[in-house]
Amino acid sequence: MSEDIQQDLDLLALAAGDDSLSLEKKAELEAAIAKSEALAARYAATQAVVEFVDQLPIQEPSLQFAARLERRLDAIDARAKRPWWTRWQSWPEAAPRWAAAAAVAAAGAGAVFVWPSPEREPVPAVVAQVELLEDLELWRDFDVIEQLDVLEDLEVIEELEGQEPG
Amino acid sequence: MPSVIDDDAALMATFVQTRDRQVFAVLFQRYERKMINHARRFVRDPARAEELAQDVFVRVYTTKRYEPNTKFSTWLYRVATNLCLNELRRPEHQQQLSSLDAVRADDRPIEMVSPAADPEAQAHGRQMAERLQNAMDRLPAKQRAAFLMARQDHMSHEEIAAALETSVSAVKSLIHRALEGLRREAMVAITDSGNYAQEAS
Repeated sequence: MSEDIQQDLDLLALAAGDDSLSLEKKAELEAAIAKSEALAARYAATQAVVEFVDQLPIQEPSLQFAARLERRLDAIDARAKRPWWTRWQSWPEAAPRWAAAAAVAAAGAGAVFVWPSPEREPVPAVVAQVELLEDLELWRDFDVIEQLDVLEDLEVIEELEGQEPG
Repeated sequence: MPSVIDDDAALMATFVQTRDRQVFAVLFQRYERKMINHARRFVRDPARAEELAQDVFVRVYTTKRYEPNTKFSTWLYRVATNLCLNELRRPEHQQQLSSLDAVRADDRPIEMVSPAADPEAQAHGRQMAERLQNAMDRLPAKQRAAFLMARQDHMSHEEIAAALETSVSAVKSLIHRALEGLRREAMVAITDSGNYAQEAS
């Protein structure tokens, strides 16, 4: 079954009842359908689809549809007439998610501003604490440092007389 | 005012300038059903479809700038489609989908054969309608929307492409795939009814 004739058949089924296909084309397609079972089955299935779609129910607006919209539009107009500062005050209520996101963003920005960066001058109390710790370490190692002075002054023993290597 | 494409576009341009509610009311009356039914192509719940249609008109009402250089209906369908697609992306919608029963509460059964037909033919008609309804529900939202915009709203491929913010060739492909999906189901139903008829004879 050629691609063209399939498309024409779809068009024939979809456009049934209107004038999108010429009479000659319609006659040609109907002859093709009569000759081929496969084409006839395809055409019948397409017609069934079209028939089904054309019967799909149309949803009518509910009785309150227009009234509800009126109320929403009234609220929009009333909000637009209020002074800008009252609109600004009611913003967190109108958009709580955005308000929460803005609060988190502001808190984040504040934290970045307050957080001590490595380039900053150290706080004096912290410097004093560090110096004290360094002093304590020096006291702990003081014995070793003293012994080191003594060891440095000793002469090197080059040989031991009367001793055979073991 | 720039060159106006159609009457509704001119009305919309007037509304944006004057904020005249009566002008808005004319547009509302012309398109309320279309917008509800367009939303219904994306969501199963009729109440949610109405809410979405309301959101569309609220968007129209709050529009500050409008260039009447395309058909008003095309612009309106584009607004509606964007709102509906956003709705489909919401996690709440996914939860609703999983909890909703597949049966459409407000839909009457579609009769695909005449009530005067014999009971067997009526049973096959019901089976066909059920199969096609399920297949329609399973179609991807854009395929379903494109196919129904073409068939029910008689929109051209160019208008559908503008409304769905895609190309004309993509629209042709969407409609073709939707038709293929539905036709496959219809062919199965026809084959089943043929087999049944053979067995009965």
